[in-house]
Formats: sequence, structure tokens, C-alpha cells
Amino acid sequence: MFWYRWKHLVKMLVILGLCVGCWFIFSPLSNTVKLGLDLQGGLRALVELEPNDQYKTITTDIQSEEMQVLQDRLNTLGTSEISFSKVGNDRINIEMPGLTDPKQALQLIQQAAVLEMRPLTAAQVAKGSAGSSTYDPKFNAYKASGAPIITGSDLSSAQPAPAPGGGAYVVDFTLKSDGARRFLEWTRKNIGNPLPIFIDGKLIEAPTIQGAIGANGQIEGNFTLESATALVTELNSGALKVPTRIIEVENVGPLLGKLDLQTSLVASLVGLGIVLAFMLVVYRVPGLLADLALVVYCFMMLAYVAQFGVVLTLPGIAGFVLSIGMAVDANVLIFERIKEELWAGRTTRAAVGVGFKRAFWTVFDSHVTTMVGAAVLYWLGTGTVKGFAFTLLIGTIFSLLTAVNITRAFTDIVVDNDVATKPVWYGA
Amino acid sequence: MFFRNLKWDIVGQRNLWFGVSAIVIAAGIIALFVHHGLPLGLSFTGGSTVEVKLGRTVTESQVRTALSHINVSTVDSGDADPAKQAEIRKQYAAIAGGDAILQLAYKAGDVAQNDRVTISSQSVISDPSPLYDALDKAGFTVDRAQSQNTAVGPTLGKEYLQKSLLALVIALGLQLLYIAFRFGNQLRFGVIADIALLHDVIVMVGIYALANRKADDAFLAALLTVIGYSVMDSIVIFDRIRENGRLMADQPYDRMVNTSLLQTMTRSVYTLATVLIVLLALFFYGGDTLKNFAFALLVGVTSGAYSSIFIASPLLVLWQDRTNRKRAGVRAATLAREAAGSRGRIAKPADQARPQPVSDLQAAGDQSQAMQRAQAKRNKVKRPTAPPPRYRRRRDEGTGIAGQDGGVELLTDGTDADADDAASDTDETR
Repeated sequence: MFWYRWKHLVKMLVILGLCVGCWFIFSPLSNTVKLGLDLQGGLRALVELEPNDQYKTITTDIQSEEMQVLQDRLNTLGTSEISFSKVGNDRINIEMPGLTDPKQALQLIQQAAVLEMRPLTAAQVAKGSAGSSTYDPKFNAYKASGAPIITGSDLSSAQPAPAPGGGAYVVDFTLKSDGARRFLEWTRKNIGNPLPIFIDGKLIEAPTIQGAIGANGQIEGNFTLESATALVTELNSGALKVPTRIIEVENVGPLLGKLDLQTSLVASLVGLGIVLAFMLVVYRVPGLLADLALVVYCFMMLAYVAQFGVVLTLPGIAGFVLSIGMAVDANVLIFERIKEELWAGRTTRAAVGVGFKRAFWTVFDSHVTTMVGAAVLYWLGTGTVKGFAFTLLIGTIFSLLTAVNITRAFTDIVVDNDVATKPVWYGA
Repeated sequence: MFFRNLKWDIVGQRNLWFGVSAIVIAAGIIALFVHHGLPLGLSFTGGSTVEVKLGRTVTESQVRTALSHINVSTVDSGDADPAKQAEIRKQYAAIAGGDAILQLAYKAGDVAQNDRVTISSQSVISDPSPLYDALDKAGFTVDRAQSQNTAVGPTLGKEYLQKSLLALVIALGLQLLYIAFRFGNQLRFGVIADIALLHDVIVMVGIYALANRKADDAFLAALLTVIGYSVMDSIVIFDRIRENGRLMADQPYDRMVNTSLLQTMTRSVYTLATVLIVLLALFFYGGDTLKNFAFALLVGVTSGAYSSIFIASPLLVLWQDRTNRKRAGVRAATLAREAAGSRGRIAKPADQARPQPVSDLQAAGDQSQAMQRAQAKRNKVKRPTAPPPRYRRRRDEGTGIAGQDGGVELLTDGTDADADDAASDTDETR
């Protein structure tokens, strides 16, 4: 019969094909495996949207709009691959791998950038601006002011420009037609009065109106190039509808991530190496076969990680390493059983058959109990723990496959060809 | 062969093993009382950790002095809301005021000793630049590329804690279900596997309290992993005990359990060894995050292996002893009752299984005992008459020789057939 003559060859070809396939998927490693923030460096922020007077409850629509605004703002930072994701219906998770200076990003996230021009009297302006003789720190200019004349939504565009005097920067803005009409009318009536400009409720400046102003204006806030650019970004991408609060931050320096990646890779390789050596010494021939199966297992894991874009994090590496322990445990169970059967006087062939059969359900149990824990952890776990749970879960499934099937396929060849017939080759 | 040839009476020394566990657990509970419960990590309480790499070796007091010079009044969150601004300044003020736990660290490859500082605080700081600036000013240039910070808001921390506890409860529940499914018809295995499971959880929490480590999300991950490991370990040993229960029915229960333990000991030791190897590698070479995690797992896995060998199995023997005593007591009572109550009448064997009028005190327990006795009797009859399945011959299906030769049974040797029969025997009896 074809199958009985060629089954080993076929199985080996399948396994070899699997390995080659995996190799093509994950190689070169550095290009295919995505590193998490903790290994690559970067900023992760979990942002919560807080209801305000206008929007009392946060709906998913508001969430989407806010996410769009944040995307527009943060994309100007020039960092590649910023990822945004909605969490629940009032949170947004932002990941910016490779970001070196978090300060600006955090400000862009937090600043609502609500631009408002609200009327104040000259005396009030003096009371509200630091440096004037009548400055009163307790005075809240924003509350004292009247209804806004112009808001951020009236803007059609804004851009930074160097101040006429040099050194500082200003922000030039252009109003939309209907806002421009209102602005013109109001400024004509209020020549000689101050024009207080508020950003996020903070009085930025209050120049005295010299004459009627139309569509184009200027904010002189004593800006630096950076702060002017930031404000322009915010004004152009629109104001946030509701305030944001950063409730979780993870910020890793790029070099630190690299260092952690190196040490944890060393850790996994050292662990893997000792385990491979251990199996070889203790179980000899089947130990070698299990080691081969373990290598196949590593190939499969790497291919999975590369193929499905799993982001590799430190806890993820821990899960991977631990699943190696699991895979080995399955083989220990099986080989111990084989040894016992050998001691009971069976031939190697019989002992291998019985060993695999009898140990299977125990191996299955051990994998199921691990998977249960990992699945719950993946379901309810928080941030970093999820990565661990995921790799452990996948690793356990692969381990069940390789430890039972692939080790078995290897062992069958050895046994059927009478390569290692003495019990001593099995560590017995 | 090493462990099976060892004349090690694990079951006989059970009081010693129980004592060791009791001491560890008691120490843990005392530590829990001293610390007013398990100290929680920042991911559950809310707060922030800033890890900075400095240009040179520092001492704790130097860092503290530098932090006290944080220029709180210039801290700008970039937030418009004055309330929020005030809140952030207050948090920096707290750090400047000394409300931060400092920990000096050193990483392999660093040029200077103790040039890394971990600053943890209850304040939630998303942007640590004022802190970096203060350290820069004090002359310890902060290498920002090698520094990191994390912050979790207090409400979020509480949410994470709730979620984690829920995860723990669900995972425990699922494992209990699995145990029940696995040992459905044998209450004692299920209950004792549960006890071993709880033992490991308590030991882990206790040792964490003893080591004064903070329970964070990594601890939860370790806890859930260990729960699975513990159940698995108990199942492996209990499976062997159940198997030997049939094979060694003529031996006393405690000896049978002890033999089972020694038989599985190599497996237990090797499995523990391989897992410990990878964990130790993580512990010594892994980063700080992994170190904490590996520590929790080291404790839990060791406890899991210990509990299934030295706690769960002796408990099985105790359970059996109790059952035996009960049985013996009932038998004595029945005999006495028969002698007293049915004077002159010879009890027929069939009567034994039937409930007889008894005193109120015994009535409840007796009925089930009578059923158990009947069960035991059935077993007794069954065992010798049914030949052990492994001696029944069956066609060899594994090697495929039969198929090759057109259905003619061709057994290479006797043991081969035995082996496959024995294998199917396990399948049948499972």
C-alpha cells in the first residue's frame, strides 16, 4: 500500500514544507515582526473624553469626531504609523511608536484649541493680563467677558508667520465669509476698544482695535515657532468638542526599548538553549527529536507572529518563552511514559506507541488548563497583559500540535527503521 | 528509575509537608496583616513611575534634593482648564515635597553604578519633563532616550483592579468546572484538586506580601497561569493514582498513592525543572517588567508542583482513611445491631444491602453507607471475574501489518499486542 510505504517520507516532506513556508513568512525577522512600544520606544496614551456643558453624554459620534481631530493634529508631527483605536465609547487609545519627544504630542492631545473672541472692557483687560498695574490673579477674564463674536469654527485657515519686529512669531488667520462679515461689523462699532482673544478660556492678547477688520487677522501671542505651529495645527484641525483627559500614559525611550529587546531575547535564547540541552541529555534520542520539534514550533510561532501582524511586546516574549516550557512539558510527559513502558519490558516500538497514546490525554489536560487561564486573561486583561495572554494562547495551541504530532512523526521514523532499539537510547 | 527505587514515604511524612505549607501560609498571612492587605501596584491604585537614566552615579538623597527643586509654578500642562492646571501643579508639588519612592537601579552594560532611578509616586504625571528638567539642572543629565514613564489615572486603576478580580474569579470558576468535568464521578479528586489550587493562590499572595512586592497586572497574569499549571499538575498525579487504583487494588491505599507519587516524581521534577529554567532565564536576563512577572511565576509554579505532590496526594489518603474508618464504624455498628436486634435470626447476605430499622442517630449516615457497601460488593465481585483488558488480544492496528498482509493477523511479538491493548485499555477506562 502506498501510504504504509511512503507515510514517513510524506510526513517529513509536510513538516519540511511547513518549516520552509514559515521561514519565507518570517524571514527576514527584522522586517516582518512588528515591535511593540515597549521594545521600539514611543508613546501610548489612553484618552478619556469628558462631558462638558454642551455635550452632557459622550456618544460614539463625538468619539469618532474627536478621534478625527486628534488624528489630524498628531499626523502633523511627522511620526509614522500612529495608530488610533476606540476603547469603549468614551476613550481613544493612541499609539505613537518611535516618538521621541512626548511633550508636544501630549499638548496636542490635551489642548481643546477653542479660539474665541469675546468682548471685554479695557479695564477688565488690564485686570486680567499679567504685568499690568491693576493685574488681579483672582479675576477670571473669561467669565467676565460677553458672548463670543468669533469662534474657531469661523476660521477658514491659519498659519504661523514671523512677527514684524523679529524674534517672536504670530499666527495669521483668515475668516470664512459669514464670520468675516460679522467681524467687520463688530470691529467698526468698537474702534478704540480692546479685542480680547481667548484660546481655551485663556486670555492670549487683547489688541486695541484701530479700524474695521475684515477677513484677515493676526494673533500676537508672543509665540515661539513651535507654539505658533502647534496652535495653527490645532486651529486648522478644528477644536475638540469635549475636553480630553489623559488617563494612561506609557512612554518608553527608544534606546531603552532596544536594550530591553536585547536582554529579553538573550533571556529567551538562554532559556531555550538550556531546555534543548536538558532534553537531549535526559531523553537522548527522543530528546533530540523533541528538540527538532521544538525548533519547528519556534518556526511556526515566528511565522504566525509575522503573518498576522502580532505586535511583539515584552510580556509577549514572556508568553512565548513560557509556552516553550509548556511544549517541553508535553514531551516530558510522553517520554516518561515511554520509559515506564520500557521498564515494564515492552519493545521500544510498543513502548513508543503506548507512551504517546497514554500520555495524550494528560498532555491535552495540561494544555486546556493553560488555555483557560490565558483566554480569560486575554478577554479581561489590561493592556500589556493581553500580549502575554495572546502569545501564550497561540503558543499552547501550537505546542499541542507539535509536541504530539510532530514529535510523534519523528519518533515513528526512528522506531520503524529500528534505529534506536535499546532502552538506553530513550534514557531508560 | 531513581525516584521509584527511592524508599521515600511521602505519604507517611504528610504532617511534615502540611507543616511546611502551614508555616509558609501563616507567614504570608502575618505579612498581609502587617501590610494591611496585599500592597497593590500602580496599575491598580493609579499613579506614575518614571525611570530615568542619568549621566552619572547618584545617591537617593541627591535625587531627592534635585526633585525638591522642581519649579512647580512653571509647570504647564498645556491645559486650558485652570482646575486641571492646578491639579497638575499639586501633583508635581507632592513629588517636590518628597512624596515619591526612589529606587536606584543598574542595568547590565551601564558604565556607571546606580545611574538609573525609578521614581514612583501616587501623582499621575503624563509628561515628566519638569522632573527631567529638575534633574538636568542638578547636574545629573537625563538620557531621555533611555528613560521611560508610565502613568495610570486613579479611576482607571480601580477599573483595572475590578476587571482583574473578575478575571481571577472567572478563571477559578472555569478551572473548577474543568476539574469537575475531569473527575466528575469522583468527588474526592475534584475537591482535593480545588484545595491544591487554593493553596497555590494563597501561597502566591502570601509570598508576595512577605517579599513586600506590589501586586500589579503582571501578578494577575502570573496568578492565572499558575492556576492552570496547578490544576494540570494535580490532574497528572491523580490520573496515575486512579490508574494504579485498579492495578494495585490489593495494596493498601496509602502505599498505592505513595508508589504513584514516586512513579510520577521524575515527570514532576523534570517539568518543574524545565519551567524553572526558562523562568530563571527571564528573571536574570529579562528586563525589569519581566523580572517581577518571572518572580511571581517562580513562586507559583514551585508551589503548584509542591501542592500536588505533598499536599493533594496525602490529602487523598486522609480522605480514604476517613472513609475507611466510617465504613469500619458502620460495619461494627451493624454487627452490634444485628447481634442485639435480630437475636436468633440469621442475617442473609442479601439483607445487608437493604436498609434495616436502625436508631435515629445512625439512620442518615447508614443509608448511604449501605449503598456504598453494596457498591463495594459489586466491585469485589466484578474485579476477579473480568479479566484485565490488557490480556485480551486485539488486532494490531498501529503498525499496519495486518492491512498489508490482506487481513491475516500477524503479530511480531507478544508484547506488541499487549502494548496496544493496554493503550486502548486507558482509552476505555477513561
